[in-house]
Amino acid sequence: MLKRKKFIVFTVFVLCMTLIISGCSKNNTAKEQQSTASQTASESSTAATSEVFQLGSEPLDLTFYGNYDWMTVDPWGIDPGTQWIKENMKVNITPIQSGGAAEQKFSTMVASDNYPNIMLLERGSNIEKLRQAGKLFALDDYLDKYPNLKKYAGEATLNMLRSPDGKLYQFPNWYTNKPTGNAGYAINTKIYKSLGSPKLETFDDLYDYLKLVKEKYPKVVPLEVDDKARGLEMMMSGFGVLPNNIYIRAFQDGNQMTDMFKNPVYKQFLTFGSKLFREKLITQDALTQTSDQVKEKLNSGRVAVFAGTDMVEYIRDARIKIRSVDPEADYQAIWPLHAEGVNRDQVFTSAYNTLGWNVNVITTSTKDPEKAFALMDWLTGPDGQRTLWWGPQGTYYDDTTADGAPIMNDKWNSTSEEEKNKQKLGTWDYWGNTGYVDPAKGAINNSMPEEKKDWMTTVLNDVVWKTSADITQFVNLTPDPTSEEGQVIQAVNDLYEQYFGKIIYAKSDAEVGNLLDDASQAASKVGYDKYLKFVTDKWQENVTKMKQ
Amino acid sequence: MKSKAVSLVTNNPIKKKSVWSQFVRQWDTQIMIIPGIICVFIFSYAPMYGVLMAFKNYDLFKGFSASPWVGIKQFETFFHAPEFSYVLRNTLCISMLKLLIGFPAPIILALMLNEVRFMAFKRIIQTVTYLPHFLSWVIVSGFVVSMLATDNGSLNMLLQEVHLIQEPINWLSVPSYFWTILISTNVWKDVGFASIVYLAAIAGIDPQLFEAASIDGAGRFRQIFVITIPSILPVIIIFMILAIGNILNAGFDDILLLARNPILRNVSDVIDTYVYRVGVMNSRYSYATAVGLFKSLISVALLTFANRLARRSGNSLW
Repeated sequence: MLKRKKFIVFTVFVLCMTLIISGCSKNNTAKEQQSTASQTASESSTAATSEVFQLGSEPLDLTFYGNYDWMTVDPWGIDPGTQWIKENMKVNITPIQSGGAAEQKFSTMVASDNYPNIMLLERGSNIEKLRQAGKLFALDDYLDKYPNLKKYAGEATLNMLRSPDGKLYQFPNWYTNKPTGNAGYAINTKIYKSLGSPKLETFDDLYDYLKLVKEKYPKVVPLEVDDKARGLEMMMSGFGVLPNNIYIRAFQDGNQMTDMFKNPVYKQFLTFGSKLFREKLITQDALTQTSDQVKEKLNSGRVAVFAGTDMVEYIRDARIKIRSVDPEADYQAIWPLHAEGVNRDQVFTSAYNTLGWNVNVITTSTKDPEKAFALMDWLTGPDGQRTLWWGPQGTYYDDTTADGAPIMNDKWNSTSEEEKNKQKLGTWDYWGNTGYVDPAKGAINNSMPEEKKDWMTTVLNDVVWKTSADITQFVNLTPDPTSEEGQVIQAVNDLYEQYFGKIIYAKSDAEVGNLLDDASQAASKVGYDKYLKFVTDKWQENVTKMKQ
Repeated sequence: MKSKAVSLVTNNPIKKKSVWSQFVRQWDTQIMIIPGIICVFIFSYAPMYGVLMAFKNYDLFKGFSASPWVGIKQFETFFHAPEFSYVLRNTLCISMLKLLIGFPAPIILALMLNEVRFMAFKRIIQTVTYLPHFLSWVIVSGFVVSMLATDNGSLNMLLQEVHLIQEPINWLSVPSYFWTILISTNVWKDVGFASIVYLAAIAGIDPQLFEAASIDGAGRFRQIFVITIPSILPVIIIFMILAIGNILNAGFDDILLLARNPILRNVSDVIDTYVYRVGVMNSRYSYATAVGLFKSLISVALLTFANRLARRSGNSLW
């Protein structure tokens, strides 16, 4: 008996200790959270009164984190631009890496209440939660003191970035006032010429051409659509509907968002896609392959037509590879294809929004948020962007145009591409100002002799950016994953992925229709309507915001 | 077990002394054990309070204590989820198959290797079979995916060369092939390494037994069944129990990496991949914990059951 009693006492003791230890640690963080939150309010109110901070007047030490699995932030000072900033402006930034698991890293930061000074992440629920917890500094007080962001992003874009409390917490990256994008079609010109360069404008032309390729070059993939068949989704643009509708899992109809599985254009598009796949004109590995396998096929010249959302980057690399082996081989981008009866100027393979790609936030771990903002604002201005992309004045350029674009010198022209790649020019631009960088790159490219012109810049200017649509009204439609709508869209995403696969593998056109009906029923069972209402409301909210 | 321990204590003259004086008497031994106990406590027991998260609606920003209690709502959500039935079925079926095929495979390999008399050959086979164990699943799945590709995949090329098939088969998009691919990849990866322990057990058998058996006229096969297998049976049973305790661990990285095609989800989604995809990736930590806890409870029940059975053979874990 005594033994047993002692054992029970010991067990109870152990449990108590566990609870005490765990309880203590959590209480502490909660208190800290409160204190920092109140600190936030007081600091942001006093910020406006101080003097304008001159970069370089005192050392500035910051930490920077990019919330992406794939992102590895290079050391500060690795390229000529940041090296110059480090030496002349006494700025040092320490990168914090996601280690390939951004979601976990972010959770750890939240749970331990230990944030980097500047974070680069997607717009959306994470930022809103950080804001509600009082972990972010508002940037409004600095907008007029440091003019670049306001000047280049514009009031309308900044309004779209404002949080529900009316304040601005997000510093955009690659915000833009002109089209951007990367998606489109490319063809293997060697194969194309050998088959007599047939007309390639409509999907019917494409179908005939792919059949011809399959017959004459059995070892070649007629149509490569990238991993997860992302390029196939992009091809819906050819039916006159933005692929964006697929990504938000709802189709625009008037001012409502409606069931995608019931949309007639979507059905038409999938019927076409399924036919191409069934007749083995699309790579049969479309849904199983990795992007490395896709690149391998492109780099060895075994693809006749490529459709991809990152077409420009894939083809840029592939061209270098195949041309070094066979000088006659080449890829060339073509004007986006379209279905019969669709105007070729109404086909948009890419989409952009003026808010850009993602945003930087300044967290309350930053001692002096104004200094951090001053740095970001300088970096996003013409001087900062030019330094980040082409190094300090006197290396690759001695003078600038009236717009601030660099006028390249002989050293730029005589340095090989390989050498420039090694210097990692532009690697640290996380405050991208598209309205400055793209025209500047275009101007440099235009000043080059024909054979030295950069392929990528030419394709972007001549094709891709002309076929990119403005979708600013559709930003911020993703619900918080822990909310009810968030759980619905997660289930709908699962259904979408499964049914997309099943439909592509469908044995007949009739089966495509049946599968779409099944998908629609399954989606309504998991509460699709709630999500459709949510996106409709959010979208209409954006529309009214933009009219202001 | 317990009654034995009690009787030992009652016969012991130091019974009346306090726990403390017993401790002091054995201080040298105890000091060696204490760090281990502390480690187990800190790393295995202390984090266990986290399972309470399954009964809360955990909000990362509010912290653990401030998140509201929701009772068994998370469990209900899981039981009513459309995925529940096939996730549970896949978990049980895939782990059963891994047990039925993956468990005997290394034993058979060990028995076969033991019969090889040409040492150099035996060593080469052993090395070749256990090397894949050291490759990560990322690399192995890379091999498998490119081997099974329709475009330049070696398996399709081979089958076409020998005219077994006309058109390449898209192996990794046909749901009915997936379990076979998964199980055989698993066996290939781990059979060599797992056989080491059985080879060691076989090496420990007294050679006189074999000599005696052969004098009595037992052939090679007979020797395997009457000497080798009975001698390594305790090892087999212990590993069997451990394997049953692991039965709901149907695998994670292998499935995640091989079942890239969402069309396979009906046959590939197991509890762990489901927790990762739906819970962790969407920051639904409470839900993830509830599903994980459900899995652990079943595992504990299965382990206890397996141990009961094994106790009859006298080789139980506890």
